[in-house]
Amino acid sequence: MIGTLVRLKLTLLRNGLRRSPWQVVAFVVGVLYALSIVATVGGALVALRFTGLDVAAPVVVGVGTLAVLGWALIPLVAFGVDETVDPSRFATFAVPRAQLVPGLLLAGLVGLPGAVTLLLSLAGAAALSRSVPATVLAVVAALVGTLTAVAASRATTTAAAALLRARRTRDVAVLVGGVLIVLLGPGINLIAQRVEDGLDDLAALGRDAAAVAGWTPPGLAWAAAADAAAGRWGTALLRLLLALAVLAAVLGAWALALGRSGTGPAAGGGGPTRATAGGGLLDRLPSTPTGAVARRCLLYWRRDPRYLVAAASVAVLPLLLLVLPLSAGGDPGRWFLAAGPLAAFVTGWSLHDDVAYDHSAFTLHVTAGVRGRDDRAGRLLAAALWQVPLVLVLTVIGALVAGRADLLPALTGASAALLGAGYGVSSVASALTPYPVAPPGGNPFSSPRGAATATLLVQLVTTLVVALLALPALAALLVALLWAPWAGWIGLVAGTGLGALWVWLGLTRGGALLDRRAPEVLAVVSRS
Amino acid sequence: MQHQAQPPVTPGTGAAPALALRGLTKRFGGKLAVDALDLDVPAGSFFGVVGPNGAGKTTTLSMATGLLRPDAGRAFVLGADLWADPIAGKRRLGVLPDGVRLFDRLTGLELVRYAGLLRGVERDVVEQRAPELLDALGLADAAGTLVVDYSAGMTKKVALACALVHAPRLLVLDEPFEAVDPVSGTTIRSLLTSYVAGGGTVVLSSHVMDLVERMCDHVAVISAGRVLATGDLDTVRGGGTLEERFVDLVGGGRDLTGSLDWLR
Repeated sequence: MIGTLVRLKLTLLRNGLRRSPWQVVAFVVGVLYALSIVATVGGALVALRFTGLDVAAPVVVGVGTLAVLGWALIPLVAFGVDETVDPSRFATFAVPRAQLVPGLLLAGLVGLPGAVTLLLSLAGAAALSRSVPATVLAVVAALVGTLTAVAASRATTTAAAALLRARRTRDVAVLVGGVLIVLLGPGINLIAQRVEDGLDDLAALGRDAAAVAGWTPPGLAWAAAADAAAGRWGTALLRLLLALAVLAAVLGAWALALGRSGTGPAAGGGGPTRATAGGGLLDRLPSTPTGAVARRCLLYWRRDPRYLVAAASVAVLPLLLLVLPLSAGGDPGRWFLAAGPLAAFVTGWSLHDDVAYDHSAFTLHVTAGVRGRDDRAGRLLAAALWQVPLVLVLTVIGALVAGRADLLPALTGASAALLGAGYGVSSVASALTPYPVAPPGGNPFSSPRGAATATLLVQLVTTLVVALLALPALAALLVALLWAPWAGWIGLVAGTGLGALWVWLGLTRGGALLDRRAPEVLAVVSRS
Repeated sequence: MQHQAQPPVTPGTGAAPALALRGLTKRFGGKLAVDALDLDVPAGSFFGVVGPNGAGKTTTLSMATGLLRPDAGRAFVLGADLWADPIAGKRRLGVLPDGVRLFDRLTGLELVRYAGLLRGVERDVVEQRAPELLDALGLADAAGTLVVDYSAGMTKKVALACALVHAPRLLVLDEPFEAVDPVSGTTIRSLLTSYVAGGGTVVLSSHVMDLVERMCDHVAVISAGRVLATGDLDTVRGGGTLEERFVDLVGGGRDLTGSLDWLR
């Protein structure tokens, strides 16, 4: 079964590359990027072999712990998990879960992220290769650590998806975000307080942090290898045993979550749901195609877990600005200035996924012959109806909390420019370079197979363009912040003017593009 | 110019066909899915498109309804060149695509209303038609339920309601009876029959010969991306049944004597 699943993954990857030359280009870029990481980080790790163990051990334990945490947590907020081998597809095959889980685990290891992690783990083992038996244990520990990382990513996303699907409430999404911050806080707090004691203590801090991390679940395996290298065999074997227990526990948790979501039917969920009623605002939207699209989008912002996850990540932003400086023991004041512009950037930019979220349901827009401009305007209107007030409130609160009410015009200008540029770029990008996302009812934390690198490329370019288009207002903000607050009034005029211009250009250019390219857009977003 | 720019005319009658396909071609990679296909659907006909799996039925209907851009050829919907002016061409066309998702986080009623408003139908007209359609299709009780919780047959019916809400004159249905139970099937059939009786034109694809033979007055047999036979039902099937004629045209009814012994 394990062999079959790994072969299936390899076949799917190969067939994905056959689909278009761009997939090959994206894959080659990905491979080069991965190689550069392996060469630099891996090279540095191997070089640690020739330093004292008091340097090598904390570094390996620290990096290893962070890698496992990264695998477990990053997919929840960004990128998602590559669900090339989707567990729910095996629902009908009567595969015992005891065989399915190890198979899916190894299949998850196949691919660029898995390969990079495995190679870096082995480089870490090389850094700790102080004797033959210690090396053997280090290699075993590296394998255990890598498998724990992959399993953790699957366990956290599957569990979060099961929760979201079962309840269909935004509370859970916010909860996940809250837990993330709680986890993030103490770690940053620890580092920040030590940094205050001076950079000289950085090494001591590293050793302390590694000593603590070595007894946490994600750090056990790496610490075991460090113990063996130092000749402390009793502790080494104890930690290795504990690391194996952690791996087993993570796999158990994953299997449990799969039972709730994965091996059931893909649509999942309890009995039929009566829909929540429309509400005042929804009924006041005009009965035009634009109004209809806006109304539908607003209903989706409330009912679709994928939208809820996106909305929650915006809600989490100001919290992040509060928690990060606080845990550093510093004054959060200045950080709050960024709340409005940051929220404007994230919300405006993330609208480019809107058509992809429709998946093949977008067919209805194509058969109905909806004008591109109406489609764009409706989606934008729905987003703006709750995002513009949110950004405004965050901007004002941020300036007031930071005690810089004089910066209000500059901040508002920057927020308006970023939001407008985000909407404009999104309106064009979703017609020009759409990419597939998790389908409706699918795991909101997964990204469709074969699209990861291309997706990353589009995201990178659109981010840069948004920043570039908002540059005049951002420059005015900088001038107002550092030298002359009156420059903020120029920023306000320029920012709102630019924002409106980008929205208008987005609607007209993006609309015309969609009129021409609707069947092609439909083909891309229907994939996966 | 290989194909005439003017909308084609059905020979003999002088009337414009409801749907006219001229030289439609589509290639997927190296595989020719639809091969310079010509087809005329007379106005007011109940037209069945039959063909084996992979014959190019869905690809053809997708190109005829603006969902998939043809590599070559034209599609005339009620006289309008669909790919030259998609918005005009789609105005009086209703489509039920096969195997696509719906906006299933809307309730049945919300979805049909949405389809109507997208088409630019007036609000009060939509408010009147949507419940009426759901009622006629036996979905009145489920009007307030999210479409994601519908069964396969209910989903098909609500998609049909979406295709009808703007009162189209041409209805193109891809596999409308797939996954539909006999009761729902009968409901859909009587609705379509009365639609044609009222002057509308229906084009549907299916691989259930029996059903096409009972419902349709015109048929086309498609295989390997080409039309093998087309015309009114009696002409195409000759003396025998449609199924006999179909297997005859498409070929490949294999004699299984002696093989698959292990299955018995």
